[in-house]
Amino acid sequence: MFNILNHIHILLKKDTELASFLLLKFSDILRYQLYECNKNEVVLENEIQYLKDLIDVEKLRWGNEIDVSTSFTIMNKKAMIAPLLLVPFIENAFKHVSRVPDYKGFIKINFNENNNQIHLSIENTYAKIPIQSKSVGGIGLQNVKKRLNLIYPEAYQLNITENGQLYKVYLTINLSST
Amino acid sequence: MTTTHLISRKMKCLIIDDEPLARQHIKDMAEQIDFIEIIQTCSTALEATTYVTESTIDLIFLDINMPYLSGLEFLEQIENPPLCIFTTAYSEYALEGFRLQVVDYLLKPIAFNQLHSTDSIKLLIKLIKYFYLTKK
Repeated sequence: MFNILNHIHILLKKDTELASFLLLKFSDILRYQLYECNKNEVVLENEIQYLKDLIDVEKLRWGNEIDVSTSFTIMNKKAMIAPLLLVPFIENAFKHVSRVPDYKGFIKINFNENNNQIHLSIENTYAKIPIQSKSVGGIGLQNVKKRLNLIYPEAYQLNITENGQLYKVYLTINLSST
Repeated sequence: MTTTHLISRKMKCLIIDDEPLARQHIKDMAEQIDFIEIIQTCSTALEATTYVTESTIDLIFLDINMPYLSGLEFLEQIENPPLCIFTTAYSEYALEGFRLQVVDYLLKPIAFNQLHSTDSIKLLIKLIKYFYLTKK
């Protein structure tokens, strides 16, 4: 969060229009997180708008260091979902995507909802860490799995695969099961 | 502020931050200090490892949360590390900072445009002091 504020702070001197755009996006994100998602279920469309705002902000932060492509389709505008369930996957993609100067990484996000079934697929490039790192399996992911088991037991499928270069998340949930 | 007369040569500095704009900002700020010379900016700590071992670096501006190798892991694995200033958006690394003997802790968003503020004067004095202690 303070990284985004830092980004805005720097942009204020260089590109005020972009700074103000980013600030408004950031306000929407905060407003959603603070006031709109402290319920058991939220409107799917709002949750997706929040994800889109977050992706916009991340895209601006990393500029041309990564390629980001997204597509979102929602058929039922009134579909409901447990809040903040999908965001850890998006955050992880931006956190771990490879962005080495001479090797441009990419993130592909596809989301669709049909008949209260949602499908989210995220692919991102990542580079194997040559030096041993202490962090194994983020706590974010473990928490999502716990929440999925509690809220959508038997109604979701989560597949995560990695092949050394590509990290893929595939999640389906039957929202009408609650 | 002119300080060059206090010091025999410029301090050679390295900036390590994965975020392009943050990197540029620290560079812009550091370049306002006349005894600092930016040798290189790096987007990963891995890339920086070669610079630290191959050339003489006096001071590192180091971000902490970065992919592949964090700033803390990076600093831990260098033998005889140069002076280091943390530049991070998180305040919880102060304890680690003491352990790794960092010279200062700049919390993002970093305001350094008023070079004559007491904080930055304190930092400059501290840098010169450390520089003499370690390089004599």
